[in-house]
Amino acid sequence: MTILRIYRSDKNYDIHRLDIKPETKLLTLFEQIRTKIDSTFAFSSECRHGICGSCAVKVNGIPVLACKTEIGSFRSGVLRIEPLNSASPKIDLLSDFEPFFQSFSRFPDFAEPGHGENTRPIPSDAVRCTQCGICFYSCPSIEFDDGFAGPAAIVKAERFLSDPTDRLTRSRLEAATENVYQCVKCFRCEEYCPRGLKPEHSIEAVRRRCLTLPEDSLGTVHTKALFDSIFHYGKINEVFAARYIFGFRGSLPLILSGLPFLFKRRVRIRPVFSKNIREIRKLLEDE
Amino acid sequence: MFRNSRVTVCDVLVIGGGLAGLSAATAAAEAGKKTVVVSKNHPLRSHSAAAAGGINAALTEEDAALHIEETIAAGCGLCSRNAVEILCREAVGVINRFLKNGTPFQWNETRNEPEGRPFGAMSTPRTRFVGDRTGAALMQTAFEQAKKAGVRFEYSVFLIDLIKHGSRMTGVYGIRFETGAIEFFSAGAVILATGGAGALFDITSNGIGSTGDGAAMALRAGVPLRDWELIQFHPTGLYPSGFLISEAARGEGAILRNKNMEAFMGRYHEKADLAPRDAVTRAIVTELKCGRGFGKRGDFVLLDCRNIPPERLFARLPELCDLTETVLHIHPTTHLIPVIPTAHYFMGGVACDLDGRALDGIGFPVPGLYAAGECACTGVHGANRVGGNSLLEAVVFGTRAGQTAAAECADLKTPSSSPEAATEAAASFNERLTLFQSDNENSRGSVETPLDCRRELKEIMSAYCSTAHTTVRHKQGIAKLTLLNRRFARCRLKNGLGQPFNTELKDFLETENLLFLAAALFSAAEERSESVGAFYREDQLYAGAAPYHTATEWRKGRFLTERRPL
Amino acid sequence: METIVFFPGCMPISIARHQYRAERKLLKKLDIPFIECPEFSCCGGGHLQDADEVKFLALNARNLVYAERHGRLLVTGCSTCYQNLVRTAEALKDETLRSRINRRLNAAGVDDYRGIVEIRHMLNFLASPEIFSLLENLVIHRKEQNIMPFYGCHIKRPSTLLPENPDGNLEKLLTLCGAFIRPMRDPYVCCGFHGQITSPKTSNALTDAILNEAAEQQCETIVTVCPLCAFNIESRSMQNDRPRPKIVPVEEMLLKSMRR
Repeated sequence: MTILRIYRSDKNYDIHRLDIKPETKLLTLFEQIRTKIDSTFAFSSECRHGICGSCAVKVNGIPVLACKTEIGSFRSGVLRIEPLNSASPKIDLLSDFEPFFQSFSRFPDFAEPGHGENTRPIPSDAVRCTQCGICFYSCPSIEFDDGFAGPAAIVKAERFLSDPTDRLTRSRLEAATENVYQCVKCFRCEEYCPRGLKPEHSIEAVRRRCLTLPEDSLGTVHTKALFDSIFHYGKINEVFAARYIFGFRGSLPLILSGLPFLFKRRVRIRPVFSKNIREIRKLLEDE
Repeated sequence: MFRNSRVTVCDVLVIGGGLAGLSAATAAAEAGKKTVVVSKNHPLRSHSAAAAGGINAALTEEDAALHIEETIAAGCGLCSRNAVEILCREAVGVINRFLKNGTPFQWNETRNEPEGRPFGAMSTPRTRFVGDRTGAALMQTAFEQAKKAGVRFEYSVFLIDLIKHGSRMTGVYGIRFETGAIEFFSAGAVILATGGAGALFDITSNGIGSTGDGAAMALRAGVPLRDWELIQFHPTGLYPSGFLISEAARGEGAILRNKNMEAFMGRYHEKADLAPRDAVTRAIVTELKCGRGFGKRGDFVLLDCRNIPPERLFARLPELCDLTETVLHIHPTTHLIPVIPTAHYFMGGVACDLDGRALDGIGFPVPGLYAAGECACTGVHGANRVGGNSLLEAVVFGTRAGQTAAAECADLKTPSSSPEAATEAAASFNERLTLFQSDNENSRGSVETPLDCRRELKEIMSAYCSTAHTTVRHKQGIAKLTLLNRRFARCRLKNGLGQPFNTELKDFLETENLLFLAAALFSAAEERSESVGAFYREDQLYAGAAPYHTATEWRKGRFLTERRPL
Repeated sequence: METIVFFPGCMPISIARHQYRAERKLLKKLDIPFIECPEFSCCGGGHLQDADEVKFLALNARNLVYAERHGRLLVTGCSTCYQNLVRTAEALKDETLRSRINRRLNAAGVDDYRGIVEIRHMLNFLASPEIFSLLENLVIHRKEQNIMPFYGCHIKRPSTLLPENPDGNLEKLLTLCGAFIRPMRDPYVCCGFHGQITSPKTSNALTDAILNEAAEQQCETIVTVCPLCAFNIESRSMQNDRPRPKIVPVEEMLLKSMRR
């Protein structure tokens, strides 16, 4: 016996108690509910086998593609099924994908190749993305910081950036330096991606490219600060990094906020150096 | 009553956001026309993305000549040579354009050109591919280019009917899903790119949205469908659902086996597993009929991928591995994949000339109406499509239709060139809908929903009008369909117009279109009296007659199919 | 018992010394021989890969080389270090990349990386059956209190990369200490530490959500398994005037429930 709590409009849940085989796909279940129980039950699906990316929903808070997920894959016998975009659901299990589709426009969302016929294409994982929105709607930065472009858009941007003949690299990077540093590295996108893509790797790759820009942004300075700290000490030194980023005066409030920790005897004032620091410095130098 | 309805006015209106629709829209927008794509799903959710194997493109002149001949040969005499020539010769340009715009085709380092993969019915490996996700890769690029060209997208609008002003198509009206309200789209030229109607069948590789809405709209507007009975059944659909196992698997070396583990295709065709699709499908059907199928009911054969080196399989067919793993929990390197023929592609559709103009019953262009992609019948596929030609057709003829529509689109001075016709049509639609909501004596006791009817329709079509046709089966099928139509008329809707997110209404309208197209299909199939290509008649009346097209028209409340010379 | 290599990470050494002290004391109490190399450097803090991936791999490979000198098992109390070290070890299973990194290491005067050291997180190490049985003998139920176990993200995600599944381990240890466990809705939620500077909005919202949940559940204590989470949650809790739960590393929690 599986108990389903399915989101309907206005924070109401329909409760179904059903005897279902554990290998039944979630989507098959939705279809059965629509044909047998309630013909007005709304959800979206298209290809039914994981290619189109239409049917993403959240089950007990975990985003999945309904067509690829079996009922038995959840330990709990009670499944709380909600739309993917549970923050602003439309109706039943339908999500508003417009913000997600719009997120791609943070960067120039098309190739702008230079001259030359038959340029060798750059193989990219991005082509395997189905734009299902799972990474976008499970990302905390998307929820709280409207500056962030979102994992899927960055994966795509990286694909264009990796083309050496691209003519819009500059404007892509300028957009990136504003739109990729909001990632908090929680790895949810990578965890839940039904295609096994690695958006965090793309975010890192785009951030590396951002360092080539002549102007600094908060994000690039932050990276450089930590890099230099490791170069000097072999460790991350918080005071050093704060001064690097905010300057002497700017960093004072931040450093003073550490005072309570000092009083709790948790802070070592003298900086710690790794032994054999020369090796580290050598490793961090350019080849 | 529709005074407050939203009206969108544009130069070129493209219905459907698949690859053909996006190609048409990009071409029209690049010609400087205000272009709108209206579709029931977001373009990126369209079914073109499910095309896996690849896109055919001969990169040299000699190979193009060969491509032309092979396409015509596979088409069993129903191809239009002019159309095929355009298709095959424009292929290089298409590949180069997509390459330039960033589609990451698999690359052949030694030849410094996109890698070709062998495909059915072809003598040289000329199917260019991106893993086994070619359709999706092309769709991404096409969508980017359409956005870049300034195309506007209106999605989740379910279109109901074309609007006619005199003989000219001036637009279309439909329901916006979010609001449930009627909306009008008024345009100087309308391009139909709504794809096929695979959802007619129980076992299909098509998505649930492939309900042939464009073809139904065209029929209702008096435009005939050509060769509607010619439906390709892909030989390898995953058992039992029919999800597509790409022909690329056999292109890479997979082999079909029957119950005795015999690689039976060698007995049927000289190209064995890479025979044209109609031949492979028929061979599988024959094997099953002779009791050489697997399973309790002997209703599937197996596809053996074990001779493909695993690294190659992972690199070139990752989707296939993913599909079998999620659906059946088996892996193609160790297990054989159960397959059955699955409804795949409609060769027929709205008849078109070489520039994408829709043609009426006597072969004249319908003013203002164009068609492209699977819903069109340009004549390149004849009676049997070659694998890999559909993506090519969608781009080549989509672009041509877009260019023609942009060049010929009527100048719209006024916001809506035919407000009366539009409101009239919408009002009659609303009236009809009200009928389905009211509780009259007909509906008493009926608990059926549109989806019940759809499921039954699928069963009828699979049983009486799929891989093997006979007149007797057609008669039985028509009788069942008539009964089903009566039951469908008793279905009742909970909500009508104005109800936001009315899935039930969408199901209802799609089912209505499907029932309509099913009747057209029976009418066309009855008229085709002998086997040709993908159409196989067991009670062959006579063979060897001069090839002909069928034209199915909706006239005075019934379908009429006539033969037309090529 | 085999000697383990203890990798403390930067933060316990500089500004979370209570955790550092607790970790060392706990290992001593358990009579587990351990070595901590003074040569250890930062794991990159999750940000070095944003500057240069090869340098990131080389730096961590160096850490692993020093670990290999002293033992076969590396244990770290920091989730981010754990994730980055595992990521390096996984990436260097690729022969070509490993020889490239080894050339770099040799040029800097470091030995070859051989890939023989196993990397474990302190929590999973402590909860593994043989260590847990040692703990059972040492821990006396000290004080019953409401505790919210908080895992954070890098101990679990990405689960395709990380070899250990920490599910339930923290609860297991806390039950041993006699705690009333108040489970979180999602104990693997991100604390936002890595976005503190670049996305304070997200970081604060995430941390506030954790603190609010603790308040809702009337927890006096949140137990963490990563110094970064602990620091982030604690410093945020000081900025507002909401009830301040105690943020205690799991090692300290265990120590507190032992005989002095």
